[in-house]
Amino acid sequence: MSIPDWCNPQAVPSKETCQQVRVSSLCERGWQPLLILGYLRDHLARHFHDASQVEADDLRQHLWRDHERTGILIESVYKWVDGLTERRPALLIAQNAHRSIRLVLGDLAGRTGNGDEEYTELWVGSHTVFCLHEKGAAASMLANEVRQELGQFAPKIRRYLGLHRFAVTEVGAVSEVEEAKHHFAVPITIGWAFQQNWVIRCEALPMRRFSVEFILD
Amino acid sequence: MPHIPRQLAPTTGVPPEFTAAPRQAPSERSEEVAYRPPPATLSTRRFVPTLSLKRHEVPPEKIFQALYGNELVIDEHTGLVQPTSRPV
Repeated sequence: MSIPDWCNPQAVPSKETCQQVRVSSLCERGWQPLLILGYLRDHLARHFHDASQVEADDLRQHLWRDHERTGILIESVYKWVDGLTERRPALLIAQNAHRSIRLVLGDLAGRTGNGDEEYTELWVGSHTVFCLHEKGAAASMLANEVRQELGQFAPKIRRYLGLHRFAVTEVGAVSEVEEAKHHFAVPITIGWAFQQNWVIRCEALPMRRFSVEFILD
Repeated sequence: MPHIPRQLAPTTGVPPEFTAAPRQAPSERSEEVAYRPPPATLSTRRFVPTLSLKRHEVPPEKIFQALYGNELVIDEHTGLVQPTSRPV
């Protein structure tokens, strides 16, 4: 039995294999916005996969399935094209800009026991989950479900993923989508921050400088 | 020299507006067509704001303020972000 990877958006592992997570090559390089987007997509797909986890009664008929006829579409915004959602509700996740926050002078955090320089940096950014539905009230209910799910589990998510911050920072107004006039959308902004540390290891001591003019003379 | 028959002239000498059939007078009862607004305003709700997934942007400074509870304080001499004594 293959162990599914949580970074793989197509797979929803069973309860027995949820404890065994295989870290892909992307995850080995530390956090990056693409991984957080994949995690959000995976988390929301797991939530809408089971009707017992959906708190709103009206949304329990729209369950996520791993095929084209899913009740609710949960994808990154890059995969969305006109007509993909059809008449279904949808959660589209978009990645926003992120910025480096300087914590210390020159990013130099200190030195290791071997004398190598250790650096640190803080990255702050966000993702937006667009909750789409044909009805404005239903889009608001869908947004409330997503806000509660991610907002209430935010302390656990931040702790287990090792993020510096993770929170639902803003829920926008119910608006009409310009790209699809027959859909309403509610944007939910999820802010995050992670710290990146790295060490520059010197293979040899720096060479001592000498004057070339002295040799030529 | 062989005989070449003479061709007809390209015009008859009568202006085309004189040769056209007289315009028909409009009938009393024309076919009624339902009014359809232009496509741009077909489904636009007047009191609902619009949102573009393409142009939606969230500045990182706004996220930093929401997560850490204060605005960025930049030291004017070093250009570094200053730590705050306010608990976050």
